[in-house]
Amino acid sequence: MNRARVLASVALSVGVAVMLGGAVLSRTVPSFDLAGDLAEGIPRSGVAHPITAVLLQFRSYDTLLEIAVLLVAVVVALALRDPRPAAEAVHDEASANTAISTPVLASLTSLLLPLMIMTAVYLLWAGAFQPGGAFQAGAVLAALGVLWRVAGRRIASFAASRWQHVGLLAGFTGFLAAATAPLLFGRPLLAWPSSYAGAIIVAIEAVLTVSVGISLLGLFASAPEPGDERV
Amino acid sequence: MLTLLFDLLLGLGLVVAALGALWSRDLFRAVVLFIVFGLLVALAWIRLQAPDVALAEAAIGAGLTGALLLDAVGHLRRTSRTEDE
Repeated sequence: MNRARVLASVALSVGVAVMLGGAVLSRTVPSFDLAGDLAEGIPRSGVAHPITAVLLQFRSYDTLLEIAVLLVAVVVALALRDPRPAAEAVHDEASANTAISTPVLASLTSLLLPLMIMTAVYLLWAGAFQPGGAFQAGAVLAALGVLWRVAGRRIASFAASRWQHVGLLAGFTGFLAAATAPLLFGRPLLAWPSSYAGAIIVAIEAVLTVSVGISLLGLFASAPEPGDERV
Repeated sequence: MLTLLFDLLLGLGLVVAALGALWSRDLFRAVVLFIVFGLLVALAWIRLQAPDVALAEAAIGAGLTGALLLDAVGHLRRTSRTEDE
């Protein structure tokens, strides 16, 4: 039984490997010159970096839906959070006891805070003409929050506040508003006039950065706090 | 020649890190190997001239997922310790 299973998996892997090899060797030339089309369209897109142009101009509908999916995922994660209100005082004591608290970590966190914010802003700004953009900048912001929490600073009060909900929603609603605005002027969905496109894209990315950061951090913050063993 | 050698080493390192993460009995070790795997994948994306994907992979794949997994491991350890007592 076990032997047969091993044999079957070996046969399957070899088969897949042979087919992959065949596919690599007999590569066909695509009939559409997408790269050429993209290079041609860049000047009209409002941004200079091809990846950003694809994500927020030529394929912005996909990105809009992606943000919606991310929002739904975070809302589900937050809904699964322990509904019992954390007794703040007890909670504080518990996390003060168990969180890693060394002077080096504490001062390093304060030192890294402005640097990480600067990195996030740089990544956001760089996205217009070189690798970077909202997701990467948002991830840096989230990492900042994670570091903050690991170092024993509390983010629970933020995680429970209305600001978190506003931040979570801002990205999607902002993007949606920008996406539907052209409809008011008789243009198709997401079809921004080229002269404004650059500014609109940067504005959307800025809001998305905050939202993505808060979403990713929300996943981490809704996990049980250190010292909170009520599971 | 040197880049080919680097690519081969990178590929080998990827497979080793992936196998280590999957087969390691110690969860902490598995998570650390997973983070190493994520960073190597980011390097591989750079070698494939996709720096955007590399940035996202390093930040989300290795960094945030790694932090979440480490948090989960620490939590599991503490809960199993309190159950033992």
